[in-house]
Amino acid sequence: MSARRRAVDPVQRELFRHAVAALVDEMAVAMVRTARSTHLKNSMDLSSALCDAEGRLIAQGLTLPLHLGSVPDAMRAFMARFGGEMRPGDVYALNDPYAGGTHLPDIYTAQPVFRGGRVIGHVVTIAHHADVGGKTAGGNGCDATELFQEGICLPPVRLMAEGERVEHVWRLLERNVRVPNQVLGDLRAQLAAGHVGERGLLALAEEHGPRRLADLGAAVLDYAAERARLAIREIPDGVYGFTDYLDDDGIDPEPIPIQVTLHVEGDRITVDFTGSGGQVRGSINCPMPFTKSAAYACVRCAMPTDIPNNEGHFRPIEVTAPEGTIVNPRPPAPVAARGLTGFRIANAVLGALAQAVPERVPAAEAGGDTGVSLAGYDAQGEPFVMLEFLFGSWGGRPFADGPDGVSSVVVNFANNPAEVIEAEHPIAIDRYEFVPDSGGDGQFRGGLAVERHYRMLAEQTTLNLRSDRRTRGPYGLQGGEPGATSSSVLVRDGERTELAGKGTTALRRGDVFEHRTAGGGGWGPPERREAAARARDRRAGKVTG
Amino acid sequence: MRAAADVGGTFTDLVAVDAQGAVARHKTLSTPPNFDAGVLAGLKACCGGSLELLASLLHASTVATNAILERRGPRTGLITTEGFRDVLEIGRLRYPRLYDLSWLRPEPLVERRLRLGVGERMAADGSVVRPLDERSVAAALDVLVKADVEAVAICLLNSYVNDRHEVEVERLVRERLPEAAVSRSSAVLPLIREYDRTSTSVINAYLQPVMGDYLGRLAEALQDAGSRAPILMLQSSGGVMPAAEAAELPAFCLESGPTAGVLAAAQLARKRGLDRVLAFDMGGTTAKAAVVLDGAPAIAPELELGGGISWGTRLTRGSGYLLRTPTIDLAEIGAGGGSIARVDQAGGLSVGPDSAGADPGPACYGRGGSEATLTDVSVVLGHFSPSSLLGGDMSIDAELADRAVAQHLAGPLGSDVARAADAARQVAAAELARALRAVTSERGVDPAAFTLVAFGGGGPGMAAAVADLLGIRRVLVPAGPGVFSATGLLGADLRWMATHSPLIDLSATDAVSRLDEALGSLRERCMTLAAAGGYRGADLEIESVAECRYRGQSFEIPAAVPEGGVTKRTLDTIRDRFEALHEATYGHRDPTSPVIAAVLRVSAVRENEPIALRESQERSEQQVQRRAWFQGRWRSVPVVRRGDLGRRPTPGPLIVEDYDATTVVPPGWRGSREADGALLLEASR
Repeated sequence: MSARRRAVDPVQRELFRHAVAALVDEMAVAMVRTARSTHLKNSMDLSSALCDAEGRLIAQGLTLPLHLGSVPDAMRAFMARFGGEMRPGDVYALNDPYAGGTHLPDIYTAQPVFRGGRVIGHVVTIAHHADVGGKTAGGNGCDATELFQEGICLPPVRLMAEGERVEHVWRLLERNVRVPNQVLGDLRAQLAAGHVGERGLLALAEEHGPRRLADLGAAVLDYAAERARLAIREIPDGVYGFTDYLDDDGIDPEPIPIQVTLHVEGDRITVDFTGSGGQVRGSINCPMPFTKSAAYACVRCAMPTDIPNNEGHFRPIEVTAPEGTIVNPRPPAPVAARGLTGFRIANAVLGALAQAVPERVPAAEAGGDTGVSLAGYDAQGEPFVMLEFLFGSWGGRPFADGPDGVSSVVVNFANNPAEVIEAEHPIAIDRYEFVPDSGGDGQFRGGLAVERHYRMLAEQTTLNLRSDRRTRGPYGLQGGEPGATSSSVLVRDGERTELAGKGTTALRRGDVFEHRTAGGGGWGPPERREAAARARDRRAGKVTG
Repeated sequence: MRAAADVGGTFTDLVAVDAQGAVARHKTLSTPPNFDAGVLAGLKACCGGSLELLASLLHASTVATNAILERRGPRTGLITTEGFRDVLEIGRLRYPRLYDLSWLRPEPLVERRLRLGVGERMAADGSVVRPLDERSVAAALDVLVKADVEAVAICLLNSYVNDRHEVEVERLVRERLPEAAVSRSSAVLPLIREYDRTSTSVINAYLQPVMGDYLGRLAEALQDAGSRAPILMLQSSGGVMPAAEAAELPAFCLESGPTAGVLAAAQLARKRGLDRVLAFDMGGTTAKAAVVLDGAPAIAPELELGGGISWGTRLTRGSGYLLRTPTIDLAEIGAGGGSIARVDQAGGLSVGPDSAGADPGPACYGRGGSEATLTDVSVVLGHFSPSSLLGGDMSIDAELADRAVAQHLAGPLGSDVARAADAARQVAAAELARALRAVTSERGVDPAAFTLVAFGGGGPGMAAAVADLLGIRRVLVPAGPGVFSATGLLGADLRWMATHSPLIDLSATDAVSRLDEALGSLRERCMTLAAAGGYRGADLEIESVAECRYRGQSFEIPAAVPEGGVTKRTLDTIRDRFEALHEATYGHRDPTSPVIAAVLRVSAVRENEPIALRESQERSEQQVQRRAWFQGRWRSVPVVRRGDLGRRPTPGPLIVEDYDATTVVPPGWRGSREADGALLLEASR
């Protein structure tokens, strides 16, 4: 408890902690409820956050762990650009992955909140937009070789100036994206969340006054840091290494290692990515803020769940990666599909943690490796972009099977209802079911893969696929077997063609695109699996034979 | 005589009122699994032994909810479109608590082998892509027959647009399984989103036999006791429906207990002309909060059952069973009298969500509980009686409370017992305030403008503290706060509802005719339902709501549809109402975007006759003072009975003890008694 500030009453701090947690949740709800794109409003690929006057992350909404660690870097970029010239009613935006962002589709907004002429804090939102222009609709293409092919890049810019729209920025965006109604609508949803956040922060300032507000923010950060240190102290000291692999970058066929070494020493952890593959030609390079986010999120999984979601818990965690690697690329390396690498980083970090605290860490999950974008023009000539991410299941756990059909631990997306997709896009969903026998066997079985079939109703549709785990299934632990590998098939006129894991394919009306995610890895030796569990699986048809 | 029974897991609350408005209340232990026995015993106690004069029994019950939580329903099958049998299990894909790798998904109500796909396909525009393959239905039915299912849910893709295939499947199911309960999604809930519809239909099918049995037994017991009074069941949307219908649509009757409480608050609001009321119902393990604007409770589009804490938003889904039915918009939070307060290693203080429950209960009950609960904290602080609660029925050991707080809170916090207890109470108040904020600030309304109506066993004790956090200056504690929910049932209106999602673009040229047609057919459906219950059009009032959104959004905001025929002006009014709410909540309008009336809801309402309750008030025999902790020090505080207070406000600190609850009036507040027996607490600053 050494670093605790004495100035703040712990009771006051607890009250404040609860208040800011509720506020950022409200912001997230406002964004979901006003969003326009299928992906944002259904999958909830978004985040909300509250920062103090210095830009430190005080609270993040309960949405997306992989975003959390990136907010401080974005805030630094906003402060560096606008620090001296912020005005009430301003809202800033950025998506530049080399200046505070993580990839172009994720647009960050920040709004300073003023009281009595001074900044008392910032409300921040992140939303994954349905399109940002570029060569691939949906902004997740794997086949770009430079950032410039991936869409419009916003360094920190003013989106609203003293309450008025900065028209040229909005128009520039409008003219550079395929579905401007959705993109501008989703931006307004971000502003709606900002509105809610500002209102709440002002109410807190009214209650506490600006000075105590700042002290409380600092105290909440200290508290999270202290909780994190205590949790790390529970992890045995040592050096733990693990390497997982990406199949390829979509251009060059070689597997790419993600190597991680954890140094646990007392109440500190260093996560070192030395030994990971060099940056690649394809767009799965992962900018450092996202790499850090993934590492924080995984270390966080080994801690109690009730630690507040703020940057305090990063303090005892140091993340390092050599420049020029896939986990810390140099500009202008393309990064659109960096999410994929983020998932693999998570697999690698958890794999290393499993050696330190084997009783707490599951085998590899299927991950959110699969991103599907289907885009084109409907019968009326209106553009459409349908973007979604498919999730399989978790790996087997030291105490239970992996649940079948659940979002990745590090993003917690929701799925898109088939009926909503069909009502909004010229696409039919023909199947959304478990794949039997696809979970890694083990004392505790890995969760099953999930299969989804898309039938094209438009004359022409462009499929962009971002997937992985074609050559190596998600790893098992403690003797458990790996989960099944993923697969993609194009069915045209009854003929089935295997598709590569990454790439762009022109589809025609009537074509069916079938994707199977990977299955989760198993935990513990299969011979230890209880007969009752095997019987249950057979009865449910989850395992055949 | 009209009576209401609110059957909870632990207690059955009864309230009866005669033609003159005289009220009788009774609280008795519930009698699971035959809850009807407890209801009957309580009824007799309330009605003076004879049920002959009983005109109707209004009913809220936890039976349906418990059947789901305890998985006591019958074996149930599901027939769905081929390729979609796992929709029920996958749900919305999210897990409920970030970073929590120990999450276990609740077992789906239909096991996988009984979830069967059939060959058929309807397109999103309602056209048939693939005709229904009757042989595949027969094959599915073979499985269900062999498995001896008692209930079947049917949910086919896009049936909300065209129900033809579902209707056909239903016919085939009824042929082969004439005894089985059948729930067809297009009849139960014709709304877009296949998981929502499937889950709701499955819950409905699962509960039909349970609810049918229960209501059948209760009706029989009533008859045996010489009463022919109809049973009217409370729906989660706040209206009651005849027992026969409740047995068909049990999914609409879940969580009726908490709903009854909000209804009670709404009736109080109407009676007193309060336009902004926050209902605050705090029991032993949870607290519930709901908004009542202009006397009408806010309605949420869905409810997740068994998910522990529910916030009424999409954020924390995945932990329970989803019901996409209109529900009184409640935020429920795991903080009640039995909630455990503790200090973590880093000095963080928390209260709940785990609870000591009724057994062992708070430490001060002396039944083996050793952890410090909120009730213990209240005893330590002198807010609750140090000797007994429930009018002497429950004895209290203050020393045990002291010990629990000293060991689990004061020690780790390094403070004295009173300060530690006070801190825990403040943290609890903050948690409770979160529930209240979830239903106010999320809608963009400032809680400070509301009157808090506090009830349940714990509400009156915490109300003023919670109100202070929210800037609320008026608190009402109704008479009989512990059984207030049952009182709410007494005044519940009969309500039949029909819903459809026609997705009408209000700017389209055919919008007037489409809206007119859709509303017309929903109205007709309501009337048919009401007629089946023996109610005629002349007695019924029609309410229509259009849930609207901007094109491209997925979440609607309800706008009332003006009465009368549909014209261009109707469309404008709906748009205006929607946009005003959108702006109030989210800070902007979008005048260039088309507005879609996504969901229409029509209700036929038959208003219940109002009754004026006549309350008698108890007074103390002598002046009592008690040592109680307020604002950082011990004070000598008067302890009074409700009847001791008059219209003239008495300044706090003051403690008012009722039979079933204790009201705390802290310093800075004053209390008075209103003509209807309610306590009014007002902040004096």
